Amino acid sequence: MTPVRTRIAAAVVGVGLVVAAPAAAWAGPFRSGSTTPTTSSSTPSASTLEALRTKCLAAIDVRLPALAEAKADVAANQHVTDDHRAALTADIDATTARLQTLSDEIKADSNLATLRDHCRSIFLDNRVYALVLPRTRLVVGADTATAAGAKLSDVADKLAAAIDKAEAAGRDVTQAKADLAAMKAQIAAGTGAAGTVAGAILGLTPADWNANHDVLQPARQSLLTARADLRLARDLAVKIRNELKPPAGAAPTSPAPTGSPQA
Amino acid sequence: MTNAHLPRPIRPTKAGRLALVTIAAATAGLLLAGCGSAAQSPSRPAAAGGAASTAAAPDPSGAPGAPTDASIPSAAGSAGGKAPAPATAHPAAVATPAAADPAADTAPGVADASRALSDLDTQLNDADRDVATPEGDLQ
Repeated sequence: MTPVRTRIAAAVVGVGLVVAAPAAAWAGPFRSGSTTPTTSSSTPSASTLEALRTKCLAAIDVRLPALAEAKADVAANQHVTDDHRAALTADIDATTARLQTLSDEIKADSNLATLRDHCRSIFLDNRVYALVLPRTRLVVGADTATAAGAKLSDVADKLAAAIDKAEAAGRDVTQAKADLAAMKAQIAAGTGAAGTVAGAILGLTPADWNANHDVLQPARQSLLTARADLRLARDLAVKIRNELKPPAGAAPTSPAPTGSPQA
Repeated sequence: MTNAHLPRPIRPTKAGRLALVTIAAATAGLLLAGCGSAAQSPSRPAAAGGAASTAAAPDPSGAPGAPTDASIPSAAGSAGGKAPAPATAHPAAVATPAAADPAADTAPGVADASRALSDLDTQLNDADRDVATPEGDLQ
């Protein structure tokens, strides 16, 4: 091999190694994610303690941001009543404080049994995902449903006035009147169902959930019912509005200055 | 001076060029494999699947079950009840006298109700997602 060929071959091999090394490093996630310590310097009990401590601190670390996010959502939501906002915020703050205290205790634990007790407390005494967060969503949702019902009640009042106006103009409003009555009934049913939610779940504790894992289900079902009722009411509002529109080709009682007469 | 006296240009042989192309292709393959794995990002456990199976999901259109009506704007994007778009008067309602459509002034209220119902969908979905997240009792 001539000196020129030798230099070219060496350059090619060098470039290949430079590029391949980081590529192999990037492929790391495809490998086994084992966290088994590679050193044997620690005793089995010490490694168990540290492994459990890491796991428990990680459990707290995912819950604290979730609680903070829920608190921000409650603060920003325009539908939540002041009383419910105060109750939900107090619940989130108390849970957050307990988890922060547990975090400090877990970091200081040197006894495996004590560490286990503190770790269990993360779940048994707080129930962030099972109770605190879903309860917050359900109460906010119930207040949102109540707000939707109030809006639809305003719409119903305006539709009643529009029906009277159309009837005075000689239109047949029999169907519109029947639909308006049905709409009002749906609004009443929906707001009634939503109104039971907060009172049923705001007082629940983690111990209540530990005793009955379905403790939130009735409130959730009430909210589903409220949503179905209010959707029907909203759809009826649209239907009534369409029924009150003047027939195609009918001349308006007063000429439109510009644009289409179709509303 | 003739061409016979000029030095020959230095060029790799055919075998050298083949080796260069082979190594370049191999390194490119490694790079692609690395990029594919690095793009993965951690996600919340059991969030999407559980919510999809148990949640009362809103209609794909964004407005939950809303009948077709041009006066109802899409409710998508107003999730969470945060800063919904202000309800403005329906353009046609502004241009048309109330006598032509006696219920024209109900459009903003219906739109507001639709937005609130969409927010309700979001809360229900979030609650179901939370419940689907394992509490992780220690064994």
